[in-house]
Amino acid sequence: MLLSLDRISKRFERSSGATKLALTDISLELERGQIFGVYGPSGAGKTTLLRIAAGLVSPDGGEVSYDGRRLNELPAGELMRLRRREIASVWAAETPPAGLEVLEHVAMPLLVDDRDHRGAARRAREALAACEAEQCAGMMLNELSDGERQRVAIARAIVIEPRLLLADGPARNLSLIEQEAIMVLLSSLAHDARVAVLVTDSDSETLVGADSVHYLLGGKFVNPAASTHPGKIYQFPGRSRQAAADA
Amino acid sequence: MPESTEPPVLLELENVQKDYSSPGETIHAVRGASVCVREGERLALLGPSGSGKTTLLLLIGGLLRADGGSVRYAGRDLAELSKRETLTYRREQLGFVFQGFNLTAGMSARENVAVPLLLRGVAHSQAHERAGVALAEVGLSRRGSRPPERLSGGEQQRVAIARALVGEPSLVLADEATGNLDSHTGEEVLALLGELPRRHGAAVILVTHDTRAAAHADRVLEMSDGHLRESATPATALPSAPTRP
Repeated sequence: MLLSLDRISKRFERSSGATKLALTDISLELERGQIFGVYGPSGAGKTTLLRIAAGLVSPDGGEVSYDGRRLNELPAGELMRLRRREIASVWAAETPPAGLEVLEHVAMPLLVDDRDHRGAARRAREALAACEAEQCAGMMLNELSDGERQRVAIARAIVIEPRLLLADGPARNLSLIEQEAIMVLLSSLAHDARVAVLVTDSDSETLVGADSVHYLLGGKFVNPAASTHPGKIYQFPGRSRQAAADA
Repeated sequence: MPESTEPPVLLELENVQKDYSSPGETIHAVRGASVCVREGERLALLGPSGSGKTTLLLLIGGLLRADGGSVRYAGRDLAELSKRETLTYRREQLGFVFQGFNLTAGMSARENVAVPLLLRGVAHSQAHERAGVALAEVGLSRRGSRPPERLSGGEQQRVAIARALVGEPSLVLADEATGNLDSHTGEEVLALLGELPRRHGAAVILVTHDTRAAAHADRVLEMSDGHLRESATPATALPSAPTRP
């Protein structure tokens, strides 16, 4: 198993002194070539879940294992190495530095890892092409459309050829067609390139194409028995794909 | 004739205008702004949300083109720069500090700071060494291996300041740099932004609605409804031009 979360819990202290249970008793397993989808409303714990899977946040309880090794027992340097070379992420709230060209933005993880500029640029072009965003290479980040920005973000994540991709709402704020295109891209990464993908969204219908889809609410997975039927577990009122298209 | 002791002009805005148009509506974000910034000078640009401050900063940063007037840097009109020249201008002359820090998750603080140098083609080992020096300057020499997620908000903004300064820019643009920080930490960040760029010989423009920034500036400008004017707030004397290291 590439990624395993076993009975994870996480709480945050609020400035008022109150405690918020961000995650409670969360378990999941993910193998290479699989897409694991998690959906739920804002504040459900989706981003916290991904940050724990990335080793960016330590859980208060339970264990996170990557390739058989417990993340919280790894030295900081080894964790950084994993994030640089094996565990890639796309964060919904991440704002890249201003004034960067797309190609150098995508190549940046390789440059940080001491790869040569020419090789990094070539790999960045390949990653952009894989995400059908090669036409963006010479553009500035602030010139991209929302859909292009997400494709570029995924290209930047996969430029390291990761084994695990953590994608936090990569289809957020996109049109239905663009959402579908992003999920097709993630499916291709999982099923063709054998990347393990853990992806979140607020809407289950966006995650069609995932091998399993789970509903996260208040930090807990709910309706686990129904979770093997992607796209048919939960429907937000008035938000079916057809209704949105008709609108 | 005695020689002028004033530092040379670095940035000059002359009657700059910027409009945002949508069907049936035109917003005049910047209306005829004129200002001159000298080398090593510290400006606080104050004004409420929506007054046009950030638009002005984007115009100076070459991220927006003016609809009228001119933005000249070291005597050159930014509108005349090619895309490549604009990129070089931003990369080599400017340092940016944002409200949201804009650090890359998962990369260590030192790696985040090294990025501007790596993009310029500086060797990896040298870039990391200089990043370490920059982090020490902001008091984070022991935090270099931590990713942003394991740093406090104030520490993240210090990393962003180190990143802005590591390439030895001539001008640092700080947009609401204290917006996500508590009052005490915000004051510390303002003090750093008032002191560090100057030590490096860089001018700094602090765009903020935080009036405490005035205490860390040589001059205070106010922006209101797209109009820019010099504030009546007393400011300290212009600095002499520091020697660039």
